[in-house]
Amino acid sequence: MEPTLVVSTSPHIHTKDSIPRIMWCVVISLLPAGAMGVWIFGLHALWVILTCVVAAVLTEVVGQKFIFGKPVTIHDGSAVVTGLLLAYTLPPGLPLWAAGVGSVFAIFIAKLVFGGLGYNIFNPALIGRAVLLAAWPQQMTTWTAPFASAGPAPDALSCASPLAIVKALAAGGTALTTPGTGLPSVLDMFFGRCAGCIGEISAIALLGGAIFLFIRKIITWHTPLTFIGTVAIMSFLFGRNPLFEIFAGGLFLGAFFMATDMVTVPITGWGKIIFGIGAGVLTALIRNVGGYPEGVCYSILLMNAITPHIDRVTMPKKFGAR
Amino acid sequence: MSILKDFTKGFIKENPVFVLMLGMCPTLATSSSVKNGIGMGLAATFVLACSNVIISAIRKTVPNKIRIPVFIVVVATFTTIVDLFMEAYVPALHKELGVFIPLIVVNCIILARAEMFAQKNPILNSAADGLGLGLGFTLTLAFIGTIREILGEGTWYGMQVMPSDYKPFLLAILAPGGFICLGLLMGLMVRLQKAAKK
Amino acid sequence: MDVVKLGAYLFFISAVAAAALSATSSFTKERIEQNRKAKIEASFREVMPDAAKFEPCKLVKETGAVDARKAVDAAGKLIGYVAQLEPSGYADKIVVVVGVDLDKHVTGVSIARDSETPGLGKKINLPSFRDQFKSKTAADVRLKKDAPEGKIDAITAATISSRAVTDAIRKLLDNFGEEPGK
Repeated sequence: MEPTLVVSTSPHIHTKDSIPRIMWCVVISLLPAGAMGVWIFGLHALWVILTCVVAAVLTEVVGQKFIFGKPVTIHDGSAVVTGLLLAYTLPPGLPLWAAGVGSVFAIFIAKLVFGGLGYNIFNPALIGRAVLLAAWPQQMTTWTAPFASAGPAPDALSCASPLAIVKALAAGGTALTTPGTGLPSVLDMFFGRCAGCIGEISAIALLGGAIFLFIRKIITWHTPLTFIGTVAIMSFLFGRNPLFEIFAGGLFLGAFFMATDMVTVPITGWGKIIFGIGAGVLTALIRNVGGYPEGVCYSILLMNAITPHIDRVTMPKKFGAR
Repeated sequence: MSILKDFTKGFIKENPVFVLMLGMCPTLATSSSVKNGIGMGLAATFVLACSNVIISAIRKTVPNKIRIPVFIVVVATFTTIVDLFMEAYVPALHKELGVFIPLIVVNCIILARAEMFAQKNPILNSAADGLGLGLGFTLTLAFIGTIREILGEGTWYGMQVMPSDYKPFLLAILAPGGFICLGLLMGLMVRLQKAAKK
Repeated sequence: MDVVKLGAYLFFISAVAAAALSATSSFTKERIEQNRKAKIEASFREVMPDAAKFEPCKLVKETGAVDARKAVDAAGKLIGYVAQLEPSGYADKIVVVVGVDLDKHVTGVSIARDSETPGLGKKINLPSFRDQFKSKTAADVRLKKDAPEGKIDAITAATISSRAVTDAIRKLLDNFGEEPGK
């Protein structure tokens, strides 16, 4: 006879979701953007991606097993995601040793030291990028022109990223260093035919991955939409072309894949909206008034820092509680 | 014997930075290079030893109610003396350490030792305590400075030690690098102490 | 009664401290004064090597100069000006001392004080950057990456610091003139 009544403690309703399933979905959703990066910038970009992923996984193993004496959790795929996301925010010609160091910092300092997955305050991949930008600014701001070369970095034609060009123009410059590398058109930037970081250039590839995650209910609309919308409105107010600004730089990558990270972003819908608006305002301010041409990375990190406070303010009240 | 003990405890057992966690601000600010670390450490050592001696000497006459203002006056006097002498005789180092020299006045190591040690102990012990903690502070700054300078500039005390194609890890000499380095070293100290107890 | 006693004690301690300080101060005062003067004089002399003497003067406000000197040679003839500029760098103000001759050519640039990032912006102190300005006119003083007619190479990865110095010097040359009635 079949048992008709199963007695168990709550929770009683389960979903199939688990950390590995979510993480591997994110990996799949990131692949098109990476493929675009490798196709446009050549094979060196692929080596940068592989270095980051391998270094991230190795750091996680060594850190968890030998330094913190915790169970090794690489099968959950979170280290792979961190490595991929970090690689996508790096210039395609970056020396591999620098990519490796960035990965080690991302996993060890930003994640394991804070207690591992779920305890980190800041997005590990972005910490990795911030560390590299502070440590080797020259290598981190040397861009490869699209389709310039299939060979290793030194052969590639270097040029300025679209946002750096805008910044130089705003500073009173009249022309650019490298001939034939003016501002790309908005359409070029939508498909990814412009200089930039490996995984950030192709808005259409990122959008494809994001729609997949959205259908799978891994990300919600709140943060990406408010983030990108705020940047568009602010750009318009600052007198820049809003379409250009939302396709430029790392906004799509940041808004869909980093500002939707489950650990470092508010839990509630309103919290996510506040996060998106805040990050959008900061990004536009850094781009228009700050010293750096691009501000997506820092604005997400700054909003990460106040995420616990946003959570506290937007937490729904218990029914009947005062 | 206890005088010697008061002197040596400042190096490891009561290391001001790693164990007592005092003087964090000057530690972070001046440990970006070995030279700055040693300069700051020695200036603080001088002030610490002198103020310890004076405070210990007057400890029985100081009314309890106004002891803090009195200590501060003593510390500020010695700090200003160091400041003036450094500006007169080592202007280059003075320029480099800039605002941190006057800030020795509020360096918590010095007031903490006045409160915790000098006002309760005889002059010789206080002098030993001040010298020991000061030198421990200096060595710690030099140690952190060594790590940060080698990583961040490829040099040690201004001399090139890394191969010439080493790309300096600039973050190490910036403020965040100081925090990260200090945090990792403290973690290491705690772990070593735990291992030593077992 | 207590207040008087405490006050008297504090007064006594402060008096001793004050005496110690004034003794130290009078002992070191002359040397400190010499050091400071020598430093400013040295930077003036560095940017205007031919001058024998510097006399105070005032430049028009539009130059952005916070302080200036007339440079006079051994025969007492005016040969140029030295100006102190304070543009905003990447971190805090950069104090730049510039020498300009009577034809509005730069004779030299020196950085008196800066808080730029070590290893990056700090490189504006290197002769390889500063010497680029020598014998340039206003039209040349632009970063190559900002304008095709520019003759100044920015320091790699320290564009903000390089641009701050360059733009301040160009502003000085563009608006150069002595305050009338002085």
